[in-house]
Amino acid sequence: MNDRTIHPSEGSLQALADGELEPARAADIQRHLVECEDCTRRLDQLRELAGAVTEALGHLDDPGDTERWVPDRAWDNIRARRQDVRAHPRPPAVRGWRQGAAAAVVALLLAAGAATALPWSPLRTWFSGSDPGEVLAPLSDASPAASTDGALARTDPVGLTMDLRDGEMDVEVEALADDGWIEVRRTDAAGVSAEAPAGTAFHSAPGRLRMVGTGELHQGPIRIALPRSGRRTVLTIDGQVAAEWTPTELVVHGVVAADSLDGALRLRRQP
Amino acid sequence: MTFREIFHDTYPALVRYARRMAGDPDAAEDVVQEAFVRLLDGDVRGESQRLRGWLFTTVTNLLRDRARVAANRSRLLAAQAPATSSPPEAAGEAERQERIRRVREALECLDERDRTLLLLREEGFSYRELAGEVGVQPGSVGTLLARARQRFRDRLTEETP
Repeated sequence: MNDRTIHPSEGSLQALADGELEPARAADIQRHLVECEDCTRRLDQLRELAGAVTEALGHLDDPGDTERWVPDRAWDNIRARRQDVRAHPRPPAVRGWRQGAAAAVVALLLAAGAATALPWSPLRTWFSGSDPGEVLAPLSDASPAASTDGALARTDPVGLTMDLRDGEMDVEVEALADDGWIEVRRTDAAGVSAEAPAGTAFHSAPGRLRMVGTGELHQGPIRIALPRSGRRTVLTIDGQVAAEWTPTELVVHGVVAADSLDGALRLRRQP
Repeated sequence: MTFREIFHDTYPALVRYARRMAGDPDAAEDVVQEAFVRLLDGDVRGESQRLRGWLFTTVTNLLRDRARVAANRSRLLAAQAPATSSPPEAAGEAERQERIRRVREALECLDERDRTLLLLREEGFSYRELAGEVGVQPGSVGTLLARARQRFRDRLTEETP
């Protein structure tokens, strides 16, 4: 090593130690290190320093944290806080969303009230057995069953039936095509059944049914049959709650537009 | 990736980060849960990696707001508070508390940018993500991290006066 050798900067050595250098640049520096004891020593120091920092910061983590950080418990808290936020809306940033949700609920209530009065109404079937006056009462809080993401995946066109868990079911739809829709019916069956367009992947476990679409247009609907006996079903689309059912209540959130079709509730994502 | 999966993947790391940043486990859990409520109720979409970044940024901002309020409150209380004495602690616990105090002190001697860099790197953020979080060029992150780590350890190993 002579006086004219260009040594890598400390930042480059740190990036190398952290595995953040481009492969070509890393190879250059590695070649330099073979000949340069100073840089090799500095790299070792930086590695040792990073390890010491990690160890020191670990002292800030309480040994009881493992017990404390139970995501399922936190999830319950978050749901409860969301209910509270809904009951006491305030941040303007989400007001549009809530107004949309409220408008959807009101529209659905009006439609349900009018439609159930008609003998031929499809919504009669949908809401049969419940007092229309109760249909859109606020949901009571209930925690979803913890999901065990059992991984059975199917990629062919399928119909799938899955049992509820403690009377509850989470139905999750992802990558629904922009022109796709979801039809939901209530039946006397014990489990939840679903049919989806070709290419949809199913992941299921008791209490959880997840369908991942291809996102391609003109794929057609996802059809879901929910048991009337279910205690609670939550439908999410791309991680956002779209609708929630109990035996006597239905809440449709503003992320979807709802109408009826041949006795089913049809949900489309809001544009 | 579903919201639930993002939640399960990210929650422990977020709480650890918030706790290290704030030093208060209850405040840490509170702000993390607040961030998830905002994520659920707001119009935040995107890849899970982007949502993870959004969550860490939101937690950082919420902690900053809280620190500001707490600083004002403690100034007011300090003016009125009577002197109190704590009950004696077991030797092992006292040692642990002293270690925590020193680490926290060393962390607090860093400016906010360096502290954020250090703690987010511990949570596995890449240089590119770190650069985005603190508003610097990715090429500067190595240098900033090296200096922040060195400053942190120098302070940690300083003799207590």
